[in-house]
Amino acid sequence: MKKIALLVCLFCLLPLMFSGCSKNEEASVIKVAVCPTSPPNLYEENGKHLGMDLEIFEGFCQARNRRYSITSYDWQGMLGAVIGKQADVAFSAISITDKRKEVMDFSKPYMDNTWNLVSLKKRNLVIKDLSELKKYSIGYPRGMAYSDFIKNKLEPQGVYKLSDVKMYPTYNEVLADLKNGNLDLAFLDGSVASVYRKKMDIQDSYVFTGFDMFGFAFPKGSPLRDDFDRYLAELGPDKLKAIVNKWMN
Amino acid sequence: MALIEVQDLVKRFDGKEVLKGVNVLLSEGQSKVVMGASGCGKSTLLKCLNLLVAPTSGRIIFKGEDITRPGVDIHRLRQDIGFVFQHFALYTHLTVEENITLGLRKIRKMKTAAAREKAAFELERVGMFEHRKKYPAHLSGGQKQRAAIVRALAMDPAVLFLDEPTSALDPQMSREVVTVINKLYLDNITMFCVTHDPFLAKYISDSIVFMHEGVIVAEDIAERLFYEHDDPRIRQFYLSVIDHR
Amino acid sequence: MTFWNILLILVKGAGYTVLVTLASIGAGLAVGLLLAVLSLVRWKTVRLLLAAYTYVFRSIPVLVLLFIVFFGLPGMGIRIPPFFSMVLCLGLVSGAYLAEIFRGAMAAVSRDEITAAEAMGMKRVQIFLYVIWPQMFRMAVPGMTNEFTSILKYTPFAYTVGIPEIMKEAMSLAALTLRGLEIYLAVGILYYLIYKVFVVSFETLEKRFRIPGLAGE
Repeated sequence: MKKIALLVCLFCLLPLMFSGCSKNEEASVIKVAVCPTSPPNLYEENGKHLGMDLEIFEGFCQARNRRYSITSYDWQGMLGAVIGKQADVAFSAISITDKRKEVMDFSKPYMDNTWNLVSLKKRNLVIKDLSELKKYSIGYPRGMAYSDFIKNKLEPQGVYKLSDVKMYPTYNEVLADLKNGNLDLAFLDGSVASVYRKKMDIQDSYVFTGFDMFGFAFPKGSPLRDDFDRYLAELGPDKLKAIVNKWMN
Repeated sequence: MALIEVQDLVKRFDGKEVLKGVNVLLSEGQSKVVMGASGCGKSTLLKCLNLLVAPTSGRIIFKGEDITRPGVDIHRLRQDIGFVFQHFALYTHLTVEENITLGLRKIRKMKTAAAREKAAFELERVGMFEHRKKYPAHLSGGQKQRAAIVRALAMDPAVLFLDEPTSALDPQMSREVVTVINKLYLDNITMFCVTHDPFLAKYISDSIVFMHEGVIVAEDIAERLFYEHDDPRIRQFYLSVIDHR
Repeated sequence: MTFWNILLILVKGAGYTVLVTLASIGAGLAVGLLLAVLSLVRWKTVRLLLAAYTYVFRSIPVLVLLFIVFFGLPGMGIRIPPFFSMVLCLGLVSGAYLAEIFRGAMAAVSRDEITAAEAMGMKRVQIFLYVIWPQMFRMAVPGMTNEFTSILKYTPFAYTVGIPEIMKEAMSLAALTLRGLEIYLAVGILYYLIYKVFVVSFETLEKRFRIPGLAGE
């Protein structure tokens, strides 16, 4: 009986032990929240964080002589960490949207994320005019922002009907169907496309630009945001572009 | 010398008077049995005496102290009274030995080894030593009751209360238990027993109190109470319990 | 990358999964026991509070609670570290369930035995420690094992607050290698293994302390 009691006591103490482990970070260390499922902007390889966003941010830290500590969250956790001020900054291909702007501050956009319609290279499918789009089947996973885009932009222009789109559970199925020849075009964003391009022989058949901008996310009223924007200005568009291109291709 | 003196004890449950002014005396070394039909209040009387049930009015003098007064150390009082239940009430999760040593260790503050020794000695007296490592579920009813008696006795109480100790047992096991209690009787252990088993009553009592509807009707030794009293309530009760056997 | 490699990478996160589970079990036990003991108090205010607690924490989704604690409370100036947030949330929620399990087990302890302990002159604390607790604990084991496995299945939420457990390793690996099916299959296998270890160790514990004749046998 004593053993049970002891065991229970130990169990009860466990949480206390660990609560002592999380030390307060020094004020000068910038707490970074990322979601490492966004290659090439941010991902993990062999336990190391890598990616375009991190390279840009490391440049900032070097220039300002600041240190940072990085924590991986899932997507909503990362956004929550910035909103709740658990993190000083978040980056992992975060699109600047009006809704998000209500609860967090964004840096100036550092990358224009494209929306790509990709096809198999061997099909050599190039769309010069959107009116050709009708002839092909388009597919992407359910719940993506492309649905709004098609419904609000393409449908009124008579370019493509949402009801003609093939919906899939995930990109795995989309790309598998593309490979089998059951699907002509897959709708991906530029980041995702760059990943799949390394695995499969695909090419862009048409690229939409200018409406999905990535930014670094900061808590509301963060002074760090202004400093980061100044850094982006110092860096200049050319150098920034070079970094983006390096990771996108 | 009187160990327990009950004066005008009244107990009401929701307006119903179960004990209607009971007066009983139990001397040291005496063994007294309370008999009566079910519902006559005999079990309530017993439970009032160690305050498992709070009396409504009246006085209970235990070792010269009125225990119905407020501020009485109820735990100390109960530690001085051994209690044996109709349904044994052995602790299911403990072996026979542990059932007995629990009180010794936790209440009497004995060391485990000493408590075990004491338990072994008492178990030997009732022929239960070989069963000391068994759990209650593996014992017969008679064995359970013998273990329960030892549990109460091992605490060296001033008095042993027995609440229908044979009622849940078949005749064979019942005899087993009667034999054990009879032995205690012969050893002059002070006992206060509630039962409607005339066989038990006869073999373990110095005198028998007969209760009917919350009052004591008669008190006498077994032979006279059963065979010579002509109170129809006693006759009727005696015949009914005799038939049952 | 073979399936074996995938498993090896994910195992890194398994440590955190087990850690979060164990600590949450501890917190849940503490909360559940406290509530169960409090439920013995016949005070009306206490009863009302207990009922409210059970009602609230059994109805609120763990993820919502986690967001409130980790992302919401800092707005009020209360900052709780990630690991502790997770353990606190799981502890509060599972505590509500465990309290019910303990209460049921407590009610199953024979009234006669408690009376016997009272008649012996034991104080209330002693009765609880030596008669009620050892029996209710044993009777609660099946229910507890159930609740502990639910805790295990809630641990992927730890990733939400930045604890690198199995799902985090899996998701970042899947994003990079695009081999979701194999990776999540490996995740399933890992969870199954952890689950099995938990269940087996509890069964062993139960067998070790099993008592003939005790309810729940």
